[in-house]
Amino acid sequence: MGRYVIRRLIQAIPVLIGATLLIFCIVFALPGDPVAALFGDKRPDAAVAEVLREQYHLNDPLLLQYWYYISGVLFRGDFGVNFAQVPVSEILAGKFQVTLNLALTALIMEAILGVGLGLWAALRRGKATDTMILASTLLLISIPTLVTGFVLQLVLGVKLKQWTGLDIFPVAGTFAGLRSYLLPGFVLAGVSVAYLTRLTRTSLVETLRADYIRTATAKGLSRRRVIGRHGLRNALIPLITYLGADLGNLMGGAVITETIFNLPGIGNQLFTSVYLREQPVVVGTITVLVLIYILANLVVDLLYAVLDPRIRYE
Amino acid sequence: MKKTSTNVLPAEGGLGDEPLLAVDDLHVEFHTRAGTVRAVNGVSYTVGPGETLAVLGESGSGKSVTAQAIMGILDMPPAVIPKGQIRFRGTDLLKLSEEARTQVRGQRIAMIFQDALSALNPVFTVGWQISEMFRVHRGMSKSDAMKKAVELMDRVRIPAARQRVNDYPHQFSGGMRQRIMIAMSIALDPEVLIADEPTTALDVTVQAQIMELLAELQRESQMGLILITHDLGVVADVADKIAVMYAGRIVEQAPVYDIYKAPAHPYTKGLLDSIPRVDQKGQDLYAIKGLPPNLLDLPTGCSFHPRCPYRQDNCVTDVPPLYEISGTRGSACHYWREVLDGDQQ
Repeated sequence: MGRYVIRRLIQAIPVLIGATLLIFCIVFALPGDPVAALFGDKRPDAAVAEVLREQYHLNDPLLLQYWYYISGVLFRGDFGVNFAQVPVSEILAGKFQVTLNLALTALIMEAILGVGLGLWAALRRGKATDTMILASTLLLISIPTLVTGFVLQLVLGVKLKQWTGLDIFPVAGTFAGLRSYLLPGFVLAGVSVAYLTRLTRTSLVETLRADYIRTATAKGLSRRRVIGRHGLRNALIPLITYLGADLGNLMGGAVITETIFNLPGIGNQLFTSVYLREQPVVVGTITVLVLIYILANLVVDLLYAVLDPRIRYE
Repeated sequence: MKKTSTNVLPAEGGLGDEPLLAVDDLHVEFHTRAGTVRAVNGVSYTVGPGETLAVLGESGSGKSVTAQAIMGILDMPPAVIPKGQIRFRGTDLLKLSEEARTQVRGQRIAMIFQDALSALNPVFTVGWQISEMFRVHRGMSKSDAMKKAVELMDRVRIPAARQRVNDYPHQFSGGMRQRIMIAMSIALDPEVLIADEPTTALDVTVQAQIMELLAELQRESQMGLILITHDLGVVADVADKIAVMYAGRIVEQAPVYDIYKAPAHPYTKGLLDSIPRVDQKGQDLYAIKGLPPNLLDLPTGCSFHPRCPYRQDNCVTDVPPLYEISGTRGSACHYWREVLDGDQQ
């Protein structure tokens, strides 16, 4: 087990370098001179521009620039500053909490709804319940987040309050505490719920066909125990993997949801920064997202080894 | 078929006239989209305490389906049991409620399967899986149940049982895994043990060890053993009597010695003739002509007639009953006399 963990940690290093280098190159390739952008409408004095250029290492080769950046991030936690000289890490700190809250709300909803509906469908396989659940997941997959977001915002956020006077789901912002995350969390989880439902159903149906399930029945165990202990324990393995990897997706996918519900998270920030061409913030935000993605995958792999003993000893 | 289910569990103690386990005119069908597959068509056999019945037959002959019907682990639907009885100590298991059946399953009638790697749960330790029998059925504490598991692993002669009890199935060799399967099945001293091709997935030397172990455990506990196999070599040493199955029917039933001496059914004869023998080295192996029957569309009359060298006209039209040859022997062939004599010439 110890060796497996170390091996997985070492494998994460090239992924981190590759992903961040790619982002760095893409942002570097964006048109426009950052120093010129710094001065806005005015034209900078050539000497001043040159000083700034030197200060920001803009005359160095791309790879060296990347090294300055990534070593700052990894060894000093320094993500650089934006044009207004505010440290990027400071900009992201508060926003990060909002996005994490949103993603975790979505993840919990996804896990409960997806696994629950999937189990229900699997145990009623071929019956009306199963068909209905499968059809509704298809519907959920087909509608883009943009549509579900606005529709739910209008119906549950605005109209529900007009009709009943109850303010259950705030329309925007984070002023209502955790309650603010319910509606955006559900919108964000939507498509993932559908996928997880289908995955759960397939996984359990597949597992219940296995020989060891027949053995468990032959041992005289109750159906509840056969499915709940012997079946579920095996069927859960791919689901945990999917859920873990999906945390990264949810944080990345939060851009649209945060924009719709006006949540001050990193998705919203990314949207604004791309719009304003604040390159250090864009790179910093994406680097953080990549780090989370890698971390989530690492946790999944470790969890996988815990859940499936056959992985540990390979 | 309408059935009234009861909760009365089979009695314990003396047997009286009833055999320990009696399968009586059992029919099993599978309703599939392609049609009705008649997997078992009127199988009857009995097994007594300490007795070993070998059920012999090729794939698709219905031997495993019969066993699964006894255990009550058929998927119903698609499986349907339209007719027949499975009496355990005089109680028809098919009439028991699911709850009562669960009480019999595993505790009084146990089963071991062909491929122990897929039959054991990959995510639990072998100790956990064996001790589950004691925890669930006997209400034992975790540590007591684990001790029992170690004892059982010792009993089926797994070396260093105490150290290996926390290992997972994939860490054992094929033979050791089958021993674990056996340990699990005999945990609660069942009265009947069904072994469904227990040695098929193992190599020959290990096969012999496993069969020896089963025979020894049977002697110690006097359980009835139903040994399902397609391997005639395995049968000869351990079985008391043999039931040969073909197309969901028993075609010949006899004490083991009689069958090897002189088969009374052309199919049994074909099976025995197709065993490779040293004195026929270099010659072509004998093979039964034709293909196994299509269970969706069984041949009329005797199911074996398209492949039978003894076929006469009435074989195509009349289904042969199990003719009684002697008190312990039967053959479902209209011309069993010819088959029997032909072999003795």
